[in-house]
This record gives sequence, structure tokens and C-alpha cells, in this order.
Amino acid sequence: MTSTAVHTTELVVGGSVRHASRLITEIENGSPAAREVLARLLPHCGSAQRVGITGPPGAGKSSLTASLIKEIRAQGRTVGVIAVDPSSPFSQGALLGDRDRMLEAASGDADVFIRSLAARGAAGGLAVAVNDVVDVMDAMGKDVVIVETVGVGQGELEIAKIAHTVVLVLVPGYGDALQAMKAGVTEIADVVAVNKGDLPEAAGAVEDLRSQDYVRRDPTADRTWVVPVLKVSALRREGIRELAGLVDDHYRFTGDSAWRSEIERNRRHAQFLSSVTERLRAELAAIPPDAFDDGRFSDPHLAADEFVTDIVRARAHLRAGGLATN
Amino acid sequence: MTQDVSSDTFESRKEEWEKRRARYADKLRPGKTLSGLPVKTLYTKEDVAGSDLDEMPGVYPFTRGLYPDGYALTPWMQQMVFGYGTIEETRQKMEMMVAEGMEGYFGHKVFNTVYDIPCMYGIDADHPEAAGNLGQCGVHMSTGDDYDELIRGWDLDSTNFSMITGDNCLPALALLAAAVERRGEPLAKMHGNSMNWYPRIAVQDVPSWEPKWGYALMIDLIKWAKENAPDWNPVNIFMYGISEAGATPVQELAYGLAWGKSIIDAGLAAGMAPDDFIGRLSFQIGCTVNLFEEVAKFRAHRRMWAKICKDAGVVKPSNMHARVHVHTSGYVLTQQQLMNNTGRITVQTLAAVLGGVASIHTCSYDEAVGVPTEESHRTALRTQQVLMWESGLREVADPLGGSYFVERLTDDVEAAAWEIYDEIEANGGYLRGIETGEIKRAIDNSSYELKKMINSGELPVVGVNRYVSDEKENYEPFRVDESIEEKAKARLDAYRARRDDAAVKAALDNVRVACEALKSGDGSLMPALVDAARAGATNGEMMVPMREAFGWFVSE
Amino acid sequence: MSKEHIKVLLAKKKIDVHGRGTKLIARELRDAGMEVVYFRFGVVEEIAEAALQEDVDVVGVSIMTSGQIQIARELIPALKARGLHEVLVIMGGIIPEVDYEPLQTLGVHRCFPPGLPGGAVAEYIKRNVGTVSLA
Repeated sequence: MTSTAVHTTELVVGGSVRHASRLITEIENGSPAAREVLARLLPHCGSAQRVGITGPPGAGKSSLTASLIKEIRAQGRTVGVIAVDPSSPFSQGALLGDRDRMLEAASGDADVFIRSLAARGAAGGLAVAVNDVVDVMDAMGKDVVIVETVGVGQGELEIAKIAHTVVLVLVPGYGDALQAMKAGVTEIADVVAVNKGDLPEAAGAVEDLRSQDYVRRDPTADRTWVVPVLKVSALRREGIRELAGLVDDHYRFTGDSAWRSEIERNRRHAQFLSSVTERLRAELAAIPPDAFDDGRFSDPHLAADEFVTDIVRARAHLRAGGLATN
Repeated sequence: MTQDVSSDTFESRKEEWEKRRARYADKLRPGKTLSGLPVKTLYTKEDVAGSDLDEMPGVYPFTRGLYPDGYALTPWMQQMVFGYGTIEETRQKMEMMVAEGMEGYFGHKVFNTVYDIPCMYGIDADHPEAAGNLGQCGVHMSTGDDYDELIRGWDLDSTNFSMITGDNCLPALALLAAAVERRGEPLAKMHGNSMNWYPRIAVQDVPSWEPKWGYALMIDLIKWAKENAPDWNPVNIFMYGISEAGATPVQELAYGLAWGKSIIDAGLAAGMAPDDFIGRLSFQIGCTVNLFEEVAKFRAHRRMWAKICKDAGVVKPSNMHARVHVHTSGYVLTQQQLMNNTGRITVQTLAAVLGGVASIHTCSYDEAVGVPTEESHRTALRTQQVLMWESGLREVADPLGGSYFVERLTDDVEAAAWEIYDEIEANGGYLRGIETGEIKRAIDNSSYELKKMINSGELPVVGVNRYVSDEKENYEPFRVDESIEEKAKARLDAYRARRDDAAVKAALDNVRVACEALKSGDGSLMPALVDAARAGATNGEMMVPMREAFGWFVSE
Repeated sequence: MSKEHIKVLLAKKKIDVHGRGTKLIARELRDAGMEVVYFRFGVVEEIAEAALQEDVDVVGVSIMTSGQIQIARELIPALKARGLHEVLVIMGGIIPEVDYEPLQTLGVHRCFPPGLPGGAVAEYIKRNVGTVSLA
């Protein structure tokens, strides 16, 4: 097992798409073996610049991502892309169409690794596995990892804990769409791109958004990042170089203070939380109802309180007992 | 003996009718057309109270037909699509079709030649992506030699060349023009049709030009044809493609008209006068087996287009004519129990004729398997000829005109189509629909709904969800020999060996310059393409600078 | 064999002009619970590369304007060259029945005619995914 993990780790770090791709499937399926490889990959992580692309459905996130890929490739940097699409709540199936829209940017370029993920009922837009898949691509040596979100729901805000820079993509007449997205999405945006900038209403939209004076406050120093709002057209490839420049500017800006390490710590914390949550969920679901005496379910909330308290207390007890290994 | 037809009599007869059906009436399942429009079991004069029953054929708005006597003066054009292999194989087929009696108006020859996919896409025989597709589903024509052979011996005054191209629409016309010149004849003698159907990318999954440039190229061809070949039909509005992509007949009608309107808008914006170009636009429409809805669709189509043209400022009535070529729908054909398709095709053709269209291609029953054989292709042509000569359908203009049901359904189809059309127009028109993908989404949904109705059996399809058989068909379709690839490459090599490469390169450089001039709005591309064709450039070579200039776009 | 999450790559060749059949099958497979990567414009190498990056269980190729033999001849080796030996390869669309056998000889596991009543393709995939190898 471990020797396989060592071997897989070496291959992934060496850039094997076959093994990275297999590993991502394992991660999606929550396999313990994948966690072992992930642990070994961690020392190789940390060099990738992570960019989140969010925005309402129909804003042209995939086309914009495709344009960004081309721009980043033109600079000689390698790219990994994680594109998340929703799963059907009825069938659990999913149509993963983002890759199709990115074809031109990626075709025949071995340094572009695109992976489509189905959200699989993760509470919101991001598949649970996304953070781990980011690590895989980082460890493979991708210079930039782009995460494109579904565009609706609670989980949209998660992207802020994954990416160094979040690009919010809107289109003119974005009002309703913004409403439909999770409230607060403008509070996580580091750059706002108004796509379909060729529409006559685009100028007004940009002006309107600029007048909101969105800023991000550096939690570690007394300074702020003024969120830039720019007009782009993925279709006509206008404003893409500027957008890529702004993303890099923001990345450098956070790197100039302790803000960057704050971002990294928050990301690992989020990863820890989702890992614990997912694993406990799986463990609990595996316990059949008849494993408990029926009396417990007469007040399920009380039973849950006791259960959680037991776990926490047991953990405290183990730690106090000076667990040999930890 | 005279009968009293006063309303009292109608009322009492209606009562009697209701009485006679009371026993079972509530057990009848309400019918509907393929587009989902409700259909009753009986129509009476009450249903046409709001209809205009005073229309005449040949008179605005042309619901009853473009010509005063329908097909009595000359029957519809038999325009069978064909083309495979190199021009050598297709040339033989052309001669055979003429011998089989395929004719256009007044005995003219009409050649509806389809290009192979590499030509449409714009690559020559030696391109690696062409492998496996050369001459397979159309003819591979890319050199001056090919076009010389296409027109050899045909009298240009009485021969129509309809060229089913893709993105290579402009280069193909340039190559034809150069061939006509080489024969020493004036370009004004050119008759036929460029497809110029760039807007199909709103519904078909083909990569093509960016929308803005796609329209600029269409207009460039229209202008060139107007000045150089005034009898040439420079645009085909490809409603068939909309229908094959999954649209209902009503959606096909609405989106097709919006497509036409987008060309009118682009032409007017480019400074042309309505009567200078709108009359040269023509349509290609699908036709399913849903007989009455299709008849109503063709009638409503003529009326709606005439109104759109009039609103756009067209004055001359003949410029408001919706000239329609029908391609019987291919998607209704089944691979299961192949011969059943002959029955479907007959009904489809009947619907087109009753609908009063100008020209028809009948699919072959084996198109669900592959390219038609000689026999199946001839049988498809004969199907038209049986209707033309044995059925009596030609004798009377608009034979269903005045039918309570057909008149009412025509109005219903029209109203439903206007609703969709108006919505598209309000959202920025068809061109915007290409960019947003909304047309494609609407059609995809219809296609899926139809599939679900077939899956559930709600929509019966004989041989598929009714009267199913396990027997294998093992039908051997027409095969284009793979040696055609070598032959096409050899023709290309031979052509290239004879030409002046420096002149070709210079001409292609000029094409590149002309592309930029077209983009900046102060030049045209067609003359540079004709020059390049004269110099010996191939279809694929002319497409290279065009691809560079006009981008690569896929409607979502 | 049943698998919790079946991932399918549905592709058509770049210069084929249709799309209706592919899209219908994509939706039907989604409604049958599968994760479908929908990919309209691949040359064979790109289709194989997408199959690799997406780590799919099934590759489906839709055909309308011929070229099926050529595609199979190139695709199967391209998949194998990438180490995708256990992927289920299916084709569908305008393919003559008489081509089914030669295609199977080339390594395609199964061909489907157009317009099948729903469920046939999904059922086949569910039964066969994970049980095959590209000989």
C-alpha cells in the first residue's frame, strides 16, 4: 500500500497525467489510499498560483477561462483547470460541458490539464474534492491552477478560501443574476470582469460596479486592495491580457504582507473542516439505525448532542492520556 | 334541389353532431401537432371566422402560393442533392440524373451538389484531418480543374448550380466564377445558389467564424453577386438545419424567419436598398411526416415572410416571395425496417407539394444508414415524379385552401411562430441569439422532449416503438471507395504542379490584405478571392487567411 | 458490474456537422445517473487526451458523416498508448450494420443505431463498464 503510494507520488510529481488523473478519481470517491498519496504530495505543493472564477450561469465563465488559459500559456506558464458542473439532484448524473468550451485553448497542448468535476451534491457550487485536486495539480508542477465554479449556491463563497485571487464574472444586466447567486459574492471578489463587453449596456454596468467602491482589507496590515472592475469580451478576446495582469497584481499584493500566509492557513483550515465533515458523515452513514437502541431516537437532537459530546470528550481523554504517537 | 344553409341549419346540425358523439366524446384523447398545437376532431366554419378566406394565389401575402396557377404552368423543381468522390464521379452522376429526368423550372437543369466535409470545413485533400472524410458525404472540389469539369458542356443560361458549401462558401463561388471566365463567358450568365448559411451555427455544432465577421462575409458575397452575377441567388436560409437540430415545425418557422430578418437588417445596415437584395433571398425548409402541420407551415411561411419584407420596405411584390426548396426531413427516417422510410418520404413529399413549395429534394430511404445507393436515389426522384404525373396534384393551385382545418391550422401555426419570433427580435434578434446560445438551448430542449415522447411511446414511430422487429437489416449502403483519397490527392498535386506558385502566393497575400480591409469596413473580399482562384489557389488555401482573420467560434 | 459513479466521454469528430444525437445521448446518460463529459470537436488525439485527463470509464463516439472505420483505427491505439486499457468504447449514429463487425475487430466494444428508444445505451454501459479490456 505504502510503496504504491510512494510510487504514485513520484509519478504525479513527475507530471504523469495518467496517474494524476486516476488519483483525482480516487479523491472524488473518497478513497483512503488517495489520502495517503495526498499526504505525500503536500511537500511538493505551494508553488502554484490559484485563481478562482465565479459568476452566475451564462456569464461566460468557461469562455473567459479559455481566454485566460491562452494568455497564461502565451506567457510560457503551465496551467491546470478544474471545472465544476452541477450534479442532478434526481439522477446524480451530470453534464460536464466546460471542457467543450475550452477546447480551442487546450487542444493539443500537453501543458494544459483540464479536469471536469461533478459537484455530487456538495453543499453548493464546489465539489468537496476541489481543494485536494488543486493540490494534485500544484504537485504536478502547474504554475497556475484555475478553479471554475458552478455559479450558484452556498458553496460559491468557498472559492475565496481556495483561491489566491477570485475573479467574479458578470454580464451587463447582472442585477438579477447577482441576486440569484449567494448574497455576499461581491464580498469575496478580488477582480470583477464584466464579460460580453461589446454589449452597449456594458459601459453602464462597469460604471455602476465601480461606484460600489469594493475593497478588500488586508487582515494583517493597514492597507486595502481596491477591487478593479474591467470590461472584457471572451468572444472577441478583448481585455483578457489586462485581466490576467490584474490577477497577477492582486497575487503580488497579497504576497507583500502576511496576508498570503493568512490565505494559506485559511485554506488548510477549510480543507481540514471539509475532510472531517465528509469522513464523519461517511462513518455515521455506515452505522445502521439498529446499532442504536430505539430510545435514542425519541429525541434525535438530544441523542446527537450526547453523541458529539462523547466524541469530543473521547478525543480530549486520548490527548490527555499522552497518546504515544501524537 | 336547393338546401337552406342558414345558421339555424348549422346550429341544429351541430346539435345533432354533438348528440351523436356524446356517448364517447370524453374518451377521445385530445390530439396535437408535432409542435404541440392542439388539434380538434372536427373543424367548421366557426373555426375560420377570424381567417382571411379571400386570398388569391400569386397575390400578396401569398399564403396560397407564389403563382396564380400553382404548378399548372410548370411543376416544382426536382432538386436532388448529390455529390460524392471527386468531380469525376459526381460528373457521371450529374449526367445520369439529367437522363433520369431531373428538371427545374421550364426544363432547366438543376444541380444541387453537396460538398464533402473537408471542403465545407476548408481543408484540402492533403490535410491530415481530411482523412476518412474525403469524398464520403459529398464531392471533393477544391481546384480550378474541379470547377472546369463541373460546368463543362452545360449551357450556363439554362443550368442552375446550387452549391451546398459550408465555411467555404465564398471561395467556392470565386472558383466557379473563375471557371466561367476560363470558358470565356460573362459572369452574368451564372445561375444558381450560394448557401451562405453562416447563421446555421446558432443551431448546429459546427465551429465557424465569429458572428460579426460571419455576417460581414455574407453581405460581402451578396454585394459581389448583385454587381457581377445578378441572377445568382446569394443566400439560402437554412431552416432545414434548424429542424434537423431538433426544432419543432413552429420553432423552425420562427427561427428561420428571424434568421432571414437578420440578413435583411445586415443588408440594410450595409447600405443596400430593400428591393436590391431581399428578393434574392431564398429558403430551404425541412418537412416531417406530420402532414397538415407541414402544409400549414409552408402556407404561413409565405405569408409571414411577405409581411416581414413589406415591413422592411420592399415594394415590388415578387421581391416578397418566399422561394422555398424543401429537403424532406432526414431525422424522421429510421434505421429499423429501412423500407418503411419509402412510406414516410412519400407523405413528406405530398406535404411539400400540398404546401405549394418551389423545389423539392426527396431523401432516399437508406439515408439512415449512409450515403444512398444509385437505386434508392433514383427511387426518391421517382417518388416526386409519381406525385408530379400520376396523382393529379399539379392541376389545382393550393388544393387545401379553404379547408376549415388547414386554414385554421395555418393561422395557429402563424400565431405561435410570431410569438417566438417577436421574443427573439425583442432580445436583439437572431445574431444575438447566436452569441447567447438561446436558440440552440430552446431547440435542444425540444429535441429532448421529442425523444422522451418516442421513448414513452406517446409519439408512435413504426419499427421503433411500434411493430418492433428483431431482424437484422444488414443493408449494404453505397460505399465510396477509400482509393478516392489517393485520387483526390493526385488531382490536387497535378493541379498544383501546373500553376505559378509565386502568383498564387501573391494572390493569397492579397486575400489576407482584403480580409483585414473587410474587417475594418472599407473593402471587400470577394474580388480578391476571385483573383486568387484565377491565379490557381485552392479551396483550402483560400481558407487559411480567412481562418486567421475571422476567428473560430462555436455557439454554445 | 455496477459502479457508483460512471464517467463517460461523449465525442464527435471535429469536422462532423451534426450534434443532435450526441446531445440526446448525453442527456439520457445524465438522467441515468452518469457523469458525462460532452466534447464536440475533437480530432482523435484530442479525444484520447480528454479521456486520459478526465479518467473516464467509457468513450462514446457519435458518427454522422462517415469516417467510423478511420476513427476506430486511430482511436483504439491512441487510447492504449495512454494506458487506457480498460475503457469501454462505443460508437453510435449513421453506421451501417454491416460495419459493426469490422469495428468490433478494431476494438470498438459496441455500436448503436440512431434513434433507439431510451435507456438502451445506458443499460449497456451499466452492464459492461469495468468488465472489458482493449485487446
